[in-house]
Amino acid sequence: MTRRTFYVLLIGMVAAILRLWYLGDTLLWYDESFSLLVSRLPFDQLIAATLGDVHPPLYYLLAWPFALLPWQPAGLRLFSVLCSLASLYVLWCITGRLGMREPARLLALALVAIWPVELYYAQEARMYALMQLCVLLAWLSALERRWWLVGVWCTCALYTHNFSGFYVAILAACVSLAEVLRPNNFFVPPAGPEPGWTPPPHFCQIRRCLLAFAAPFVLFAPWLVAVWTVQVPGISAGGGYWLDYMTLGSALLNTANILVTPQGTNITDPLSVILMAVGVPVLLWHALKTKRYTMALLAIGPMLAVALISVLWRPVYLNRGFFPSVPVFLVLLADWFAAQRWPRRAFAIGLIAPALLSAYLVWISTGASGIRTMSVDYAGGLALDPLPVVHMDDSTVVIWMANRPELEHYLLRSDCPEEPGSLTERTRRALGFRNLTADQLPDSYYLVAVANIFSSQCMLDRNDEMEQGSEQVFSTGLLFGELGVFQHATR
Amino acid sequence: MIEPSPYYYQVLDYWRTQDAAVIAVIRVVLLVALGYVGLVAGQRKLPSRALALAARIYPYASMVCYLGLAVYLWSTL
Repeated sequence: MTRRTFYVLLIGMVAAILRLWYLGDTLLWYDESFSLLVSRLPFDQLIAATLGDVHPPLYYLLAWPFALLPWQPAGLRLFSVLCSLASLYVLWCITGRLGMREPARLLALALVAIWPVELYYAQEARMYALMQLCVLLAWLSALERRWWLVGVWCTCALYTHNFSGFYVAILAACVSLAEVLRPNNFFVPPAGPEPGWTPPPHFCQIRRCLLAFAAPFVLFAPWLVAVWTVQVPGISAGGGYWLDYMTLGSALLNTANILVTPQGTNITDPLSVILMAVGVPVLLWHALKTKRYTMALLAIGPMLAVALISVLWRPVYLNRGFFPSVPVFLVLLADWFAAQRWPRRAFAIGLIAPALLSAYLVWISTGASGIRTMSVDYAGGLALDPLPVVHMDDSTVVIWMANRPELEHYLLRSDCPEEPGSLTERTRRALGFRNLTADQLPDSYYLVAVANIFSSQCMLDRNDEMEQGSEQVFSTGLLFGELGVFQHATR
Repeated sequence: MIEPSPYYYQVLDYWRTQDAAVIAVIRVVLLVALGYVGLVAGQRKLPSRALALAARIYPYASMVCYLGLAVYLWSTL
């Protein structure tokens, strides 16, 4: 075994241990609960549920066998762990193709292995680890000029997350330009090529390249049509999209939360913002200086595009969609670090180490949960009689159906307007929601009432009305809101 | 138009505080970075031992400044 193989394996082992540590210790939070419920559906129901939601269906289709594993939530999260570990290997191949020196390649690999955001999304039962893997595979295939694979991985990326479109577009632009700049067939003798002559491999392959990048958008077109005709009207008819506030500061903080530490605490946020503010300009400058233009664009391009759309149209700055930019920044960081002398290296370590340590402290102290603990821990630990559970809000139905499947769950319909981010009727039907009206309430039941930033005043009044004459079994404060479980012994 | 709950206004206040803090941090970082760029440029134009020493110490000093800023933010936010 060579020394290089030993280091790669060592980093891979550390990465695997960190990604498996605490994997099943916290309950599924809302988004993960949704993943579990959708992944378990039959194909037609799965497509119907996804059409009513905002993300494409590939993740749910691929996560299906993991959703059926008996040990949950670790089973479903295992899929993201595997995607994350595969991304590490792909990144190793990419750094080789980019011609980076071995210490820088190993450093890039180690950074991705231990970076807090990478650990967080490697353990989350959502599509972000898969999205990152597809984008990295498309990039590697483009570097290797294996065009049919470029088409396959770009299509997979598009069917995993809508924001992949930005990464695919950037790759298409940069790779096509690189192809055009390659030597063309002008070396062919004037008499013309012999029959069966093919250009040498280093010659321009722009036609194949354009085909490889056009095919995914053509293959994605049916889904886009479905989105336009079914998804958008469905969401508009409901409460609308849940992202409704964006300022410069919130966008920058969100960006720091996806690039450095995901937890969003007062301990980690200042260090993340400082690291981002220093690191991003330095790394982009380094990328331009070393002519790594594709990397610079892959790192920052999608964020700028989405920020522009948010300013010109409506807020769509969902930071998790920029997850594929993280390994690109880390490769740039490793490349920059290897090119510097010690005062600057020490300066970088002095900024990075506290940010990472603070993230690990929060990670360990919260049992690796980060934001995942939001309001869900109670659902698993609460001892309840086998009575029907009536929910005032569809978010708690999703969490409880995933984490307490042994109980019967009902959604109480009200005349209040739908709240931002609420599920569409199509998705509720596909997930098998059971609806109740006030006059259909059973004699004895548990009531789960939640008030948060998306709740309307109408729903708060309705909660108060329903809580009258009931016994509170449990209550907890949320970050901005509160949640209560009440028992109605008689009607 | 949906009438939001009081929690919606709470989160708006929270974001305004965060906005102010984030923008202040980025201003400090940019100011410190500008100082370094100026120092390196000055050292190239007027090479002197003092400026070389200052350019060598500057990254460490700014790192201490950033960490101090982070500690300050922990205690105030």
